[in-house]
Amino acid sequence: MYLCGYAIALLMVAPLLWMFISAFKQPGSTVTVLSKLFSPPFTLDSFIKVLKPDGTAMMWRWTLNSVIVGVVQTGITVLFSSWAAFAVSRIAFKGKTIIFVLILIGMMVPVESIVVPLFDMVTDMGWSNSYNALIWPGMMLPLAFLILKQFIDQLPNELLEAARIDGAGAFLIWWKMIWPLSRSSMAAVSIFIFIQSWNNLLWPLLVAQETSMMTLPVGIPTFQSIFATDLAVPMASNVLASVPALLVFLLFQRHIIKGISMTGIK
Amino acid sequence: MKQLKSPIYKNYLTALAFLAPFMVLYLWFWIYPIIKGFLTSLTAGSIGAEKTFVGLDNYRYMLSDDKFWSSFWNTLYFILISTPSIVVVGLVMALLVNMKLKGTTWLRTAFFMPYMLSVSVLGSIWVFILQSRTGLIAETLSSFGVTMEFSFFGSWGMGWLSILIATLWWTAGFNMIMFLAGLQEISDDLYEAADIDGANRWAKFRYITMPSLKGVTALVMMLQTIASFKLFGQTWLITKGGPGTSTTPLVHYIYQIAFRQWDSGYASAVSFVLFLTIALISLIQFKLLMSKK
Amino acid sequence: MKRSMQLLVTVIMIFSLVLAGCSNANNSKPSNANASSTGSGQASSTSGSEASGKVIDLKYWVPFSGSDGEFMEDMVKAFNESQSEIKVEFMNNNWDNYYPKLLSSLVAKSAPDVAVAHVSHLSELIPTGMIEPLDDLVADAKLDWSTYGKNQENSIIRDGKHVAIPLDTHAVVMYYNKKYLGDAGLLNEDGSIKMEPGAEGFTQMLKTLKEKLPADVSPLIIGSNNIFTYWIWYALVQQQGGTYFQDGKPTINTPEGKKAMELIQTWLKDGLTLPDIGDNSYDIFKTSKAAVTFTGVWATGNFEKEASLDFAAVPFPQLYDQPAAWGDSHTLIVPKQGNREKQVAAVKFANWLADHGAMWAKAGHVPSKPSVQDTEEYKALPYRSGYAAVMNDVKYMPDSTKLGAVNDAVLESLVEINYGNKSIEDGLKDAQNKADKLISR
Repeated sequence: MYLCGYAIALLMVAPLLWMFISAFKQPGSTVTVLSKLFSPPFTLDSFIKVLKPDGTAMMWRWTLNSVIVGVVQTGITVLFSSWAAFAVSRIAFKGKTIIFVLILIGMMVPVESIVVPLFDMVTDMGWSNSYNALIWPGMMLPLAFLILKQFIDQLPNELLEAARIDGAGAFLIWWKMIWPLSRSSMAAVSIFIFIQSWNNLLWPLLVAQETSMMTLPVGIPTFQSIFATDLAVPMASNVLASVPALLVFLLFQRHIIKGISMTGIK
Repeated sequence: MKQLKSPIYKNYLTALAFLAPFMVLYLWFWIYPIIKGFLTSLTAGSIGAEKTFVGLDNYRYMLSDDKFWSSFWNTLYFILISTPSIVVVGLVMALLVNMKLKGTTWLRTAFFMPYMLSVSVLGSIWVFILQSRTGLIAETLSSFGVTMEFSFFGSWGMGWLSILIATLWWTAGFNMIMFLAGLQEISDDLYEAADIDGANRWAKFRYITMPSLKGVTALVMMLQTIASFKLFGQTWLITKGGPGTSTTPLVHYIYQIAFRQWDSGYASAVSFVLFLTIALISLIQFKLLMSKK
Repeated sequence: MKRSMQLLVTVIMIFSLVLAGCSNANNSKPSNANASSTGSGQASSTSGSEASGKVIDLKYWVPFSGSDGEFMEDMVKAFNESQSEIKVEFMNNNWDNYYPKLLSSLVAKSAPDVAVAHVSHLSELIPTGMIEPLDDLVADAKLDWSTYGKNQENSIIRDGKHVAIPLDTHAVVMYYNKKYLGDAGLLNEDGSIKMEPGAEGFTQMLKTLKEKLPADVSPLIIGSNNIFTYWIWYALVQQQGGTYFQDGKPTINTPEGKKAMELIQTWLKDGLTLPDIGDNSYDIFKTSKAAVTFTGVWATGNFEKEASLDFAAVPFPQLYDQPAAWGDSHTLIVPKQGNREKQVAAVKFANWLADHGAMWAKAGHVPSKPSVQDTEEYKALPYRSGYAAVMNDVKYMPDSTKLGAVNDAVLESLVEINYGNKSIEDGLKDAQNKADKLISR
């Protein structure tokens, strides 16, 4: 069992290790021959080449873009969904069912099936190559709404009722009760949404035509091409793009795993 | 759905205020595009030209379009090969981690780590590993005197295998977590009772673990099916949809129609069919979940 | 509660970020940004701006994801250093995704100030209505059409107007590994290949090679899953005097097309080339794992960097009645925009690039100004003279807005044939059907 477990673990990690070692080789050197891979020289040249900002590569900027888009999308989605979930769950109003069904429909719409009209919309609004285009379309609103609503549904009524009798308005209740109480499910949703946003390729590929507006997933493939023979430099870009994500994972491993099992199972 | 709660406020305006930001974004960027997409699918006219109403022509064209069907079958084929492998690999990993061996945390970390990578990083790593002659596998084999003449993703039939390997490597950790959550919900009492009855490991797995994981397995399969319909990054980066059209799934084809052939009417029509298909699957999933609860 | 305060602060920060993002975004759209990035609204008043020393910024897009990207980058640097009026901001793009990107940027009115476009793609770009005809600009930019090659100039005239500035001509040529061919006794004294004329002679040469080569070296290598397959088929059809389009209609399923595929099939069946190597034919030749390859002239600059590779470059071999090769030209287009000063600067820049074609030739391309080909700088470059002759044989692809889509469809079918999934007849019939359908839409 041990053997089996560690063999699989090694298989999973091997490509990552290879990526790391290759990145420390000279640009243009052979990294696929194992004997050559492990023999010196090891340098930082490939990293320098990747990080040097020129018209082709803007690693810093892409990382920044990815972070901005990820953080803003996550923040807005969670906040707006939390408000909406609170309203649908705890406030009586006409047309609630319609709204709920409308959002359920959204769960069934893959972003991939609306990219063509979204692209036309963004173009018509003159949003190409802007953060607006990268951020607003395709946020995972319905998913966040449903998970948060499920959580708020389960809160004991007495708790909120008590606060209301104290004279708290709706916003104060949300602010003093819902927001702190649903922190763990919001963290779970946030993690899920952030990973999705961080990995999103199709949409930013369509709307980020200028190098300076690319996100990491769009930028990285520009380091490799069928017409060139270099593995070390693309690998260096891969490493730079992966290190933040891997670090975040190693630091918050427990939360991330909990987050995924919560969002997935529910 | 059981109603645990009762409304604490009955105020239309308050509700509106809380819903407004969400609904504005939602209607603007989710619901409106569906309608706009459907309307566009009834028109024809390429870039720069005026769009003309053509009724269901685009849908009629779709029926006779071989590439549409091949990309549809390609998608189904990927579901067929990926779903069982994802289930098996995810389950095996979850079982290994759940055995609480020494160093379990390390195992779990190793299994899950690839999921944190961006699809672009994943694509580039696997292209370099699998490519013919100059790839990592080919070179390693050749240092043992074996020539690998083919490229994994350049070969017919092998194309999907490459996509599958890369996808498994990438998402197995995610599915492991799902199974792990399922495993941890099984009560220890069940196993203890089985121990008293003298059941062996296999019997315990067969009669306790497997039935308890039915729900999770169904969920993993559903998620993988939907993910397969949305497949784009891996094929776009690794096989570029080739050789020929053999690894072009639906979303990839939509991308080609919309942004290489600039036929937004037809692209919208195919998108709408994709939407209907996934909606149907989600409905089935919803029904299944409901019937179990 | 303290925690939630922190969260609130985070949210506020997020909002401010959004706002910052939005305002940034509005500035970064080139069409609106012209005024602000050049510093003031004076930008459009051409008089006196040169003297005032205001720098004109130009955004410049290219699709050179091969090694030619580095050469272009060097040229941009040299241009920026050569004068102080214009500063070009260089952006390289992946070739695969370049035209979708350029086209959508034209439609979205967020196009760069100047961009490279292939002659074969001009008719795809023009319907956007965003390509500026250059005839009003060239006088101000002091560009003289007579300094360009006549064929090159003609290739960019649409409806009587110049729509682009030609930079080079490039083609698919033949590269061979001199060591392997020498060892096999297939080299003449002048370094050229010893072979009988025609398709049979070429195939026979490959067969001889196969006997002599080490087992893990392939006689011929062609990218089996990418555009190379199409380019070679196209060249072979043209050599037989065949057509690709006739009167605006695609002619794919022709006797010439069939014959060309039959020849490629012979090579595959006899093991003279590898059937499914995917994309990296380039690497395979560079690392001496193949003896002969057909690829674009832009490979020269990359191959000559590999010290262990002793190679020669010659025109695409004539296997049928007439010499012909697939080829294309890089040109520079100037998208429409409100700022005329930028457009004039873009034309100046393009003309400078053409004037310094000898630098560009380092990447392997053949300059568009005949005078450049006579310079010492150009003549001193190795290999280039070996295939310069192919430029007379280049058969440009037809003009069609659907060319890109048709090429994609044809390539798919050709690959299916090569992989043995379809017979030549069925494959070409399929390609013809698909092309007809695409044209009719």
